[in-house]
Amino acid sequence: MAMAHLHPEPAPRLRPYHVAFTLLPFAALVAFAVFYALAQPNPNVFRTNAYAWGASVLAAPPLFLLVRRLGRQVLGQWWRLFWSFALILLLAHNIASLGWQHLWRPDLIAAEFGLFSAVMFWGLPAVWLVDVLMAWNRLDWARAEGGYAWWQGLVGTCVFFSFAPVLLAGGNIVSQALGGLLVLAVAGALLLRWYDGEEVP
Amino acid sequence: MIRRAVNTIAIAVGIIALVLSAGWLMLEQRWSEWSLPQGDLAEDGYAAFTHGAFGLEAFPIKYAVVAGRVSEAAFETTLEDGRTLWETYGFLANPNAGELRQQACQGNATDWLPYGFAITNYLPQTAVQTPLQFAGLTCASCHSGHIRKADGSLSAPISGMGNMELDVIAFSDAVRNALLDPDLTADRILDEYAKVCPNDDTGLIDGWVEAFMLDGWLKGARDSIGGETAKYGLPYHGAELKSADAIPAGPGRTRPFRSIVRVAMDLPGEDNFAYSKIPVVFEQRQDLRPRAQYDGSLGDPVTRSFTAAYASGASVKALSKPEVVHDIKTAAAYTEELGISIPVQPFAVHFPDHAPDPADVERGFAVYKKYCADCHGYRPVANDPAKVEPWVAEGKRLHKLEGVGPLAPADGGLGVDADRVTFRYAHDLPLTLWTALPGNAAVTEVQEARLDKARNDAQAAGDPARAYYWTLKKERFLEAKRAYRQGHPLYFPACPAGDENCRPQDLLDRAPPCADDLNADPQTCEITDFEAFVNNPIPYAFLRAPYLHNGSIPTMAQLLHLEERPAQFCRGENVYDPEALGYDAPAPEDGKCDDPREAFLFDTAVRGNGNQGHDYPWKPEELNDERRADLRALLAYLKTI
Repeated sequence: MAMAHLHPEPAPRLRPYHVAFTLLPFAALVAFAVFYALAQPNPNVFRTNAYAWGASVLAAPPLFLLVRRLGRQVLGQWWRLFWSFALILLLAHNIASLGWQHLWRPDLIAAEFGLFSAVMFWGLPAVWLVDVLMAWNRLDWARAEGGYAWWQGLVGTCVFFSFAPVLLAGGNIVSQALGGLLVLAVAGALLLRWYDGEEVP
Repeated sequence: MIRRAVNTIAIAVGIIALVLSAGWLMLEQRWSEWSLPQGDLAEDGYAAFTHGAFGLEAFPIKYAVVAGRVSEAAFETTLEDGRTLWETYGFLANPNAGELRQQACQGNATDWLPYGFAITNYLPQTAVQTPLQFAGLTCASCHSGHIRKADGSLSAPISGMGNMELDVIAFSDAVRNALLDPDLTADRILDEYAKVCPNDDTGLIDGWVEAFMLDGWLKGARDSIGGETAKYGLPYHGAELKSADAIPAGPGRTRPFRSIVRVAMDLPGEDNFAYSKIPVVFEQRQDLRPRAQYDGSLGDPVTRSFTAAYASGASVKALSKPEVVHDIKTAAAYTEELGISIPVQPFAVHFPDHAPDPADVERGFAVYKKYCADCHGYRPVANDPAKVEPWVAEGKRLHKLEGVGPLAPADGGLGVDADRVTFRYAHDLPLTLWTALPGNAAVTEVQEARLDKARNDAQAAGDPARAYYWTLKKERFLEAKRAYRQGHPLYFPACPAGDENCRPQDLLDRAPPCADDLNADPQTCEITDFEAFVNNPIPYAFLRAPYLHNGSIPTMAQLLHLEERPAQFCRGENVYDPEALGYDAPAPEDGKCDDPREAFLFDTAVRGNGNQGHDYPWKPEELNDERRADLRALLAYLKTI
């Protein structure tokens, strides 16, 4: 991949406002899942769903940023923090789902959904976790090049295609709206990227 | 400066929200701790039956302490006659209550709450566990009774006997009325409780959580009850609570199918006249009683217990909690052995001065074997009147279904009131109930297919509204399927415990709707909808009064036509008549039951209350002196079984 358009400056420093305004929505989504569930007919199901909804909400900004900037601009702290918090909520979703709906038995996931879904269930958080760990450990996380850039793009693609179709096919308006949000985020970023491509020589 | 402050506040709020969320989840874990009881069936079964958690939490204990003060208007019936709130509605007194010296508070609730109440920390419906303690109904609330003797004494609670004084529908209306009270607030409850129980120390954090949850419970309950008035109507109050015109079930009876139509089908049940006496639950082992309920509609005792709890208001969610599942299964097992390996005191122990003459018993046994045993099996006469022999489940028509209403044979058959089994939606219930609990992945495919078939059948029959109903049911089913991906723990038909080779999908032939033969022996369907009553054993017949499924005949002597069956009688705290084997139910004066303790006017002319039929061995016009003597002997024998 050509890196001709990548901005030369380093990633911006982590500032308190980055932490504040990523931590706050993350915490709000966690609290919503935990406490609003108490007013639902089935709190466990609600929490399991709400963690996944929260993950998709938090994944929308970094997916936008990734599609918009990968290989062209610095990804930035917003990407890294939102991306990390979204992963935490996905892990919460998987743990809740495994513990409550599948009785802590990983084999039951494959038995019910088939091998592909089971691989996705475990594989997605695994690759995402690796991506997040790299983002917090590599100096070039915001300006990835070569294989690392491909990796970031691949993980982003996996996340998008794991979330968006499932949410859009979900049986309720919340899921569908969140699926639409992800599609809009990625489609908007692609459009802007295409526009940038026209504008930037 | 401002930017720094905003950042700091946002981070602080975020951290607080996370700490609160994590803290709550950890506390939930602590509040949910439960360990599997390790006692034997007699011990654990009794505990589950009498104090278990069944998802039937009614109200917080602290509210129970002060209900008579803060909700007096809702609970008052005008017929208290010096009785406590609990006694007025017919709950059995706590055996420890007489020795209670302290004020009734949350800390000593086990010593004063009526017999058959559980103390749990489950929130109603959601079954989330919090420090807020609730009083909940158990099997024993309805299925434990006592014998009220002429000298004013009361027997100890008898597990498995129906509570024939319990006005459970009136109580339910009173609770609904109380919770709808716009002046009832959590603060008012806690303030009143603090006055009554000033030394009760809940602890700081638990106290905060408790106040928060009490407020949430009250608002939620009010919204829920208020939101369902279109289905349930406004609750009755005051003297209406004891009036047969307003609440026609009265003491010792329920309207189980009105409840299940409302709960499982989400339809109003007001046009349902299926009044049911609260049944006894003795000797429920399946070799003796393969079909449960008066109509034999249910097979497995666990499914029976699940259905009872579900119809009484337990949510599917609550019924999936491990403790509740354990209690349902253990209580069901307890009723299977109750009266067999777990003793029930026979008639002679309760009424040693009324022990029947052995010669009459022998003659009566012969009459019974000739005229009754074919349908009910029999119990050999025991040498020791204080014991009973095992029931012998042999009889040509034992376990058969006897059709009534449209399925009645040409000679009229049993001839009893058919409203118990001929109500609207009866044929929609089996599939509705079965699909309330999703099975595993293989089973849910079949459940979905059967819901689709029901929808298509309704369309083909020109009944689009019913097709709409099944479409809705399928939507709900798909939601439940997502919630219980490995199957609901009480899904039925279930494999026998410990049978590793059994798979639920192998039992689908027994799932509704299944074609079955009314006269199969016994039926294999897990739930049937035949318009019929089942012939079952009648162990401890003296504890089954009043007789027939609707409790329309106060004594056995009247059932046998030794005495005239009364057209009207007064029910409530009736004294037991050991001679006639049943309740001394006085006739009303001028059409009224004036005694506040026997205030319910039972009128057999009211729809669903019919006392006709079951004219065995003989109809009144077929009696002569010899047959009357046979009947007296039969009555003597029936006292011994």
